[in-house]
Amino acid sequence: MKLDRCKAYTRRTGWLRNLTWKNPVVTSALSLPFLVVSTYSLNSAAFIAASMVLVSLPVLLLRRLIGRRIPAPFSPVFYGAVAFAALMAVRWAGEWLMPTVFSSMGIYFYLIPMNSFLYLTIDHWEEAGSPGRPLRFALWHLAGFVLICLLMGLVRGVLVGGAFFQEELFGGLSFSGAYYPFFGFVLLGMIAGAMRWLHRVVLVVLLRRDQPKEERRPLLWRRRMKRGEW
Amino acid sequence: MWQTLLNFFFYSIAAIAAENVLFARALGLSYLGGQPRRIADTLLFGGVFTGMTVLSSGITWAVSNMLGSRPYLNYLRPTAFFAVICLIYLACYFVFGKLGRPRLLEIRRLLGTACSNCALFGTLMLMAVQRFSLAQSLGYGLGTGIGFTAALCLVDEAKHQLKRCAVPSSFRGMPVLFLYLGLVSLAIYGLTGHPLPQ
Repeated sequence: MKLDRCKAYTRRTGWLRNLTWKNPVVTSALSLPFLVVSTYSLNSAAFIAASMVLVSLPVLLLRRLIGRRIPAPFSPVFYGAVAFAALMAVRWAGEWLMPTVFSSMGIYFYLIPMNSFLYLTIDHWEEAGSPGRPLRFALWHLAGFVLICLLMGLVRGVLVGGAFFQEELFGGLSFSGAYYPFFGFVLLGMIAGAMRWLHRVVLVVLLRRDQPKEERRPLLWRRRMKRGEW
Repeated sequence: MWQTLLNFFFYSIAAIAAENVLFARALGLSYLGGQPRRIADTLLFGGVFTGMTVLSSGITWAVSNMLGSRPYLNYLRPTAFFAVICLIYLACYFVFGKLGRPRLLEIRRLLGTACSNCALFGTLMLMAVQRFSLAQSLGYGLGTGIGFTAALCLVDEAKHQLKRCAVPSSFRGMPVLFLYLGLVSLAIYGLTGHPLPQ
C-alpha cells in the first residue's frame, strides 16, 4: 500500500496538529472553564484569549530561562506569582481599554493564572528532550487555545445576538441558551469531533489517490459489500 | 447556633448539587483528561481537594473580612487569596515531608494538583464576592469538595460506559465526553428550577 501523499501531508502539517485535533484543549480538557463559560461573545472571547497569552508568555519564558534554578516544591508558587503579576498588569490595562468587560466575566478572569495548561507544561518541561522544544509546543498549544476561543466566541456571539458584526442573520433569530455553560460543552464537543473528522477525511482522500486506480475501493464500498455487490 | 448549623448544612448541599463546581461552573475539568482512574485514586484526590477547600475557605473568609472595602480590592483580594493558598500548600508540603509517613507522602504528591486547580481558587473567589459568613463559607467549601469528588467519580464511570457505546470514530474519547458533560450540566440547570430565557 502506498502512503507517499499521506506521509507528506503528515510531515508538512505537523504545526496544524497542535492547532486543531491535537490541541490540548480538545484532547486533555485543559483550560476549559474560560472556553465553556466566558466565550459568550466575540469581545469576551478575544479578551480572554489575549489575557491568556499575556499571562502565559512571561511564565513560559521564565521557565525556559531559569527553570532549573527553582526547586520543585517552590515552582508552583513562583510561577503562580509571576502569572498573577502579569494578570494584574492585564487588569490595569483592561480597565483603561475595555472597562465593561470585567463585570460580565466575573471571577473567571482571575482564574487565568490558575489554569492547568500552564502548570502541566511547567511540570513536564524536562520530559520533552531538547531545551527549546517545550517552549515551541507550549506556544503552538497556546495558539490552538486562541483559535478555539475565538471560534467559540464567534459562534456563540452570533447565536446569542442573532447578528454578525451588526448584520442581522437568520431574520434576527437568536438562541439565548447559547449563553449558558451547557452549550459551551456541547459546542466544544462538536468542534473537537469536527476537527478530527476533517483530518480523517483528508487522510482517506490522500490514501485513495496514492493507490493505483484499479486497486482503489469504490465509494460506499462497505454498503456494497453488505449487499454482496462487491 | 441552630441557624449557623442550618446555614452550614444547606450551603454544603447547594454546593454539592445545584452549584456543583464541575457541572454548573465548569471548574476543575483538567482532571478529566486521560484514562479512567481507579475509584481509590479519585477518592484520595477528592479528599485532598476537600481538605484544601475547607481549610482555605476559613482562612480566606478572615482575610476577606480584614480587607473589607479597601480601595483597589480587585487587585488586593485575588493576590491575598493566592498568597493564602501558597502558604497552606508550602506548610502542608513541608510538614508532611517531615512526618515522612507513606500515606502523607502520597497526599503530598497530590497537593500541587489540588492547589493549582482553578476549582479551588474559583470557589474562594465566589464566596468572597457573595460575602458568605464563616459557617456558609465552611459549608460551601465542604460541599464543593464533596461535589467535585462525586462529579469526578461520575465522569470516570461515564468514560467506562462511553467506551462500550457505538460512538462514531471522530467523536470517541473527549468529544463525546464534552457532549455528556453538556447534557448533565443542562439537567442540573433544569433541576434547580432555572428556565431557559425566551
